[in-house]
Amino acid sequence: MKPRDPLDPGADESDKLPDQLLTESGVRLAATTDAAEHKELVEPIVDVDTALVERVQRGDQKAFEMLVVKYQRRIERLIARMVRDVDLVEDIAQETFIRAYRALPNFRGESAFYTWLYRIAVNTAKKAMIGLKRDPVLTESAMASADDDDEGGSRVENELSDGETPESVLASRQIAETVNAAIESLSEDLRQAITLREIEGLSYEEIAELMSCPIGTVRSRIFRAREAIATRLRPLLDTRQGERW
Amino acid sequence: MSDRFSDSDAEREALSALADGEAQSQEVARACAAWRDQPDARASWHAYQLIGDVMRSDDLAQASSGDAFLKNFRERLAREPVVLAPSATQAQRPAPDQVVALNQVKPLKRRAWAGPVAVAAGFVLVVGAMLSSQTLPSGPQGGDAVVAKSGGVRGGALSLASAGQWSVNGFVPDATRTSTLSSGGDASFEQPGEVVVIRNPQLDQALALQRSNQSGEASFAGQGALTRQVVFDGR
Repeated sequence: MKPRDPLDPGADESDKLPDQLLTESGVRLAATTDAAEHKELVEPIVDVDTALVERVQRGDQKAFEMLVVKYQRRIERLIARMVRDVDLVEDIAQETFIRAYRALPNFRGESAFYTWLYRIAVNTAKKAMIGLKRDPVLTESAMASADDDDEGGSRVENELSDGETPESVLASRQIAETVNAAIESLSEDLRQAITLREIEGLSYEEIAELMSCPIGTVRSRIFRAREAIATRLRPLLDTRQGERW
Repeated sequence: MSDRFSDSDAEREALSALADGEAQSQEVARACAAWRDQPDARASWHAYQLIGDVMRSDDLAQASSGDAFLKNFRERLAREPVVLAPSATQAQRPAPDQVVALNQVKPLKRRAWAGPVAVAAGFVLVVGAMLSSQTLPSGPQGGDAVVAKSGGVRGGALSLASAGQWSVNGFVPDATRTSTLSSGGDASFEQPGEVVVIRNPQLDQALALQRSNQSGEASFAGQGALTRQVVFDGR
């Protein structure tokens, strides 16, 4: 096999290894003939949560914020099923993440980070309920229903919970509709790539096999799909880009 | 090609891959640095997570106030007394390459001659100490400093002798061939092979003063005892 430049558009398509390192956007992820270095560069991380947790345990506090942003909505929804008081949901969610941050040095990775965080959220909500003299039995059933509803179903069209306003419900509905509309407007390749990833949960390698394209192409397509959706979503996110974060 | 795909795009693509758990090892640090330093990267990370959540469940679209939530969380985190730091076990645990390097360190070689040499050196040291303890008090001229100059010690090598018994390389100055500098300082270097004894005239004054004060030591001891008694009674 003769060495060739993976950036060369006229290169032979049968030589797949360097192609997999090249995204459609033209970024050369790794262009080397050294097999060992190549393996190190293209080897994906096993778990993003584990990688971020390890960084936090080494003192990178900002890495924990990435985990907060990732799991904030899921934790808030879980707590909302238990507390049913929107005013309290955010406070309990904040307390959940604070407790998780305190306990993170002792997190050994024996379970998934979200499983561990889920337990902390449930315990925090229970303690809050006891403090408020609410009925903890109801919270258990609510928690169970939250688990059952994890895969689907919409609460937007149901009755408003305590503290939820028609405006907030409308904003949520607009976000969902915008995302769905943006997905519909994507090209077939981008829509298929983002759907297989986000809904089916397939890995890049599996998507590449299904779509018969290099892994770098899958990565680029998913990124471009997300950017296209985010562009339509940003006006709904309340503040201008660059100010809110 | 690089014109249409900037570094910012590359960082956001790395964030996108990180959100999927498909980022490469070195991209994690890059993505975390982008999160720390770039508001655009933070907004993109939030948008990517929101898109994924909304695609999986419309319920998750309602909690879109991520900025306010994160702002409040930062304020609470700033008040936290907990300092996250690498645990002691992790800090002391050597890296795998260090373990290999430590395993490759060879133990110190035991040299066969080291033991006998150490024993001999110790013996010489003990004998020297015994000799010095025996000779110093017995010398009648304990305070005399003797600088020996002899034909046996060539090249101007001087021997510092005390009480006439110190010697170097076994050379003992002959008392009959020594000359002493008197307090007046008139030295006589009669022959080039003779030993010249230099005596500091201030030593005589110091010795005389010490002898005169010998009777005073008892009074000092008595004062010391009195002082100890006073201190004891003061308790």
